[in-house]
Amino acid sequence: MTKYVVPVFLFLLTLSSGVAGSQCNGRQCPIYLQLKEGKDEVITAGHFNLVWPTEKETLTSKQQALEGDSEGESSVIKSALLDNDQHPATHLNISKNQNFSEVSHSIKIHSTQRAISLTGFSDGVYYAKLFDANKQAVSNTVRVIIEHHSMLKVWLIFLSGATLFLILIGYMLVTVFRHKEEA
Amino acid sequence: MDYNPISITAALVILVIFGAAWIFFGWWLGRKNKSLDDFMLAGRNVGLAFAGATAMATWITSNTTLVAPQLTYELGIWGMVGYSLAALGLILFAPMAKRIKELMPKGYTCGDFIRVRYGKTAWIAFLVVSFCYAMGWLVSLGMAGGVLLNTLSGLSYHLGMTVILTICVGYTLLGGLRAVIATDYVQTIIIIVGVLFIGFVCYQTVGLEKVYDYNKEHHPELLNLLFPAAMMFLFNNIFFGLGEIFHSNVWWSRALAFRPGIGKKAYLMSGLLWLPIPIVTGFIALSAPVLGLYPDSSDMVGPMVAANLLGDIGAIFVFIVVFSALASSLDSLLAATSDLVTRDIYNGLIDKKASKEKLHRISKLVILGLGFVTWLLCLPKITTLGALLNFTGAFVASTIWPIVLGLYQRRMSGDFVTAALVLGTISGLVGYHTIGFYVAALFSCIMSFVICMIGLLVKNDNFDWKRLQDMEKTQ
Repeated sequence: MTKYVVPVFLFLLTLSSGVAGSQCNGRQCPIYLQLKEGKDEVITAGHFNLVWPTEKETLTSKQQALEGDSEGESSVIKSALLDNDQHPATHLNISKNQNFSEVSHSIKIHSTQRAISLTGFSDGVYYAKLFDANKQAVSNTVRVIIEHHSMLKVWLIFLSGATLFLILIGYMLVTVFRHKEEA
Repeated sequence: MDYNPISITAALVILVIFGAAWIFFGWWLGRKNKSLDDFMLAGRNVGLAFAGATAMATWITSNTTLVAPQLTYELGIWGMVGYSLAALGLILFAPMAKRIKELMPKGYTCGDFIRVRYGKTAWIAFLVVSFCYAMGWLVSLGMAGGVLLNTLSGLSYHLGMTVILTICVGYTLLGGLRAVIATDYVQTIIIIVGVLFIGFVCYQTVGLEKVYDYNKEHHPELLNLLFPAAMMFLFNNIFFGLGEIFHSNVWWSRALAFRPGIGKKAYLMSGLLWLPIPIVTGFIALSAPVLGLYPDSSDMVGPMVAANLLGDIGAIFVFIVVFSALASSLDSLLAATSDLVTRDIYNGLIDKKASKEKLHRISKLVILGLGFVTWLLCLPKITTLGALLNFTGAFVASTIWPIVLGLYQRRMSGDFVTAALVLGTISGLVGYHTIGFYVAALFSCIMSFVICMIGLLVKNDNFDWKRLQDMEKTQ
């Protein structure tokens, strides 16, 4: 019995925490921001991806009219070929504080953009959130933990690579030289 | 600038024009093919200019135009330098190309060499490794086509990938290696001029100082010489590049197709000319944050920055350059993998008495089949180009020592080579999954080296080089 109850309990817990974390000013956030590498995944190379998947049903008729037909292509063909659903976010802010009192990165987001790849971050805990043109939050907050590989492991692997490389170069130089002599 | 700088109509028009041109070129050159040697090895008579261009064009691929910027964007300075050092693969293969041509003048594929040199078990292990790599590379190229069209025009990934694959399969099918080499020559000129021009515009517009200052403040790890993952990546990428070239039939078929005495010069020249290209494309990627450009996926960063710098018209130019780079590698890989499947799997295992005419027909069917399988595997875009390519590093780096020792050492035995290939690959895959893509090739190469050294110590195969001259069949 326990083996059925525990997963159900964990599922409900995850579901409820997801809902609680996606509130924007007391209402449901229109965009659900996620860490592509996986929730609570520790990032070891300072590079991570954030995604906010398309929800076709949120596309309003007003937005459809705005998309227009500027290139002279039929809207039917265009909608078949393009992933152009629009969203209200204009900026992705990143901060080391959960309340975003000090923003370290404020990145412009295109209205059809659905993912972003971020890079070069040092060790630490970062928070990311999408905002609209009025600086109102339009997504949940995502926590990203950056923890680079330990330098002991890195030096061990680096020096192993360097040694093997020197052996290979040495071997090839000596062998090619000897091969020439034989010829 | 709009998010997608090229209209779908413009993207499709370019694809149709270039696709038709490459396919016509393939058909026109293919008319001269009279035999299997003509189709597979361009009559074994390729001169220095074409030889150098095809080696360089094949090595400047989506790897250079899309993955080099990606790895710089993810791993910073070391990513850029590490990627550039993959040129060592071409440079070190230069003397080996000469040796290959001398040892097996009647050979067709690298599989021929492994079969005769190390025996059937090692040959099968090698074919598995080689085929996994070839499929990984083919899929990455197909994916790159979809990513490119999606980034620049907004055309859906699936449609873009399908169109590019169809064009490349079309002209490879019509012209064989002769068409591949000739189109590579034209594509090399387009790629070099394009990359240098984009790099120059980037340097003029953004400048080194701005790139340094902005990244130091906002993305400090990119400039950090003690960036942990990047330090591990440095030698990993060197071994990946060496493994890719040393084992792959793409490079062996060229070594066999070039006129005697040409291979060494061609590979050396192309390696030295290729060396600075990833530095240029990498610098473009480092400029992305300064320009406020953060791509959807890190493998899009190169074309995205270039299109932003050059404007809407320039984006068309970028599209042509990357499309040329993609096509030049995709066709080479299709032709070389088809040779490997036709000669080693079909002729070696299924129909050992097949005539050359029949093998010619089978070779064409294999190209079609490979194109279809690649398309199927490209449909779910499971990962980024860089991660996919480095996954194949676990396979190919295990072949470095068996190939080098096999060409120069009589002692090396097939049993130990089989173990080196299998255990090396397993080690690489373990590293890939437990640490990251940036150690897969290194782990694979270390394990393979250890097993090969043990093999040299405990067993002496005393191989007779003359056996390679006649390309004797397996028992």
